Amino acid sequence: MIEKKIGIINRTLPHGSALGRESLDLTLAMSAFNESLSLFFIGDGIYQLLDGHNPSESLQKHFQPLFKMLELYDVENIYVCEQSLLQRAIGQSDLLIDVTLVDQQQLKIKLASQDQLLSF
Amino acid sequence: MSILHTINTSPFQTHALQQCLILLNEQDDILLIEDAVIAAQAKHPMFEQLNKLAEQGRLKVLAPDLEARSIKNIIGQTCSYSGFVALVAKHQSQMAW
Repeated sequence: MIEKKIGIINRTLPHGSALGRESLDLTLAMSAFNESLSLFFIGDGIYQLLDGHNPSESLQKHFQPLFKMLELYDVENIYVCEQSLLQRAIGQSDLLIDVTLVDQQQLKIKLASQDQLLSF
Repeated sequence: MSILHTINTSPFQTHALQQCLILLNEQDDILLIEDAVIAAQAKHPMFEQLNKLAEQGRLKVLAPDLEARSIKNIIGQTCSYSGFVALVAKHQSQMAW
């Protein structure tokens, strides 16, 4: 059976909702039986990767370190929208993990090449 | 009679901030909480308008929500949870957008 190419899209800020956490849990779980995962961080989703979260005072779970597990789980296709970073004055060096920067044109092509998309 | 306006959504996701700015009175303050804290940092279309409020000391941003999201270099004044309570006490009423 040919493995489906699955794209997981992160579009929301962390800690305002549980979506970021859920997306990461799903990614780590799926990586066990699918090697064709691609992660996309677009719009406000890039804040998921902005290094230095500290949600202790707002009494929320600090899940950001789990992003470092992606490398261990061989999830290597991690794409971040360049325009989204620029608009928010955030540089690639401000991010917690190594990512591939893509522009909107490349993003369209990457998204179109997935068999299934999951949006968070 | 003044109102404390609290906004909790990103300016890139909803129009809450935009609508709030339209209805803002001169004596009102804005407090950005939860996902809205990025409005004090990212370059969205209402940023200049917010900056004017910040210069007048009318823009507050909840510090624990900034720290949770690692947002730095903001405009406006940061505000603690007890500062939030003081703001609520200062104003006649509160509007949650």
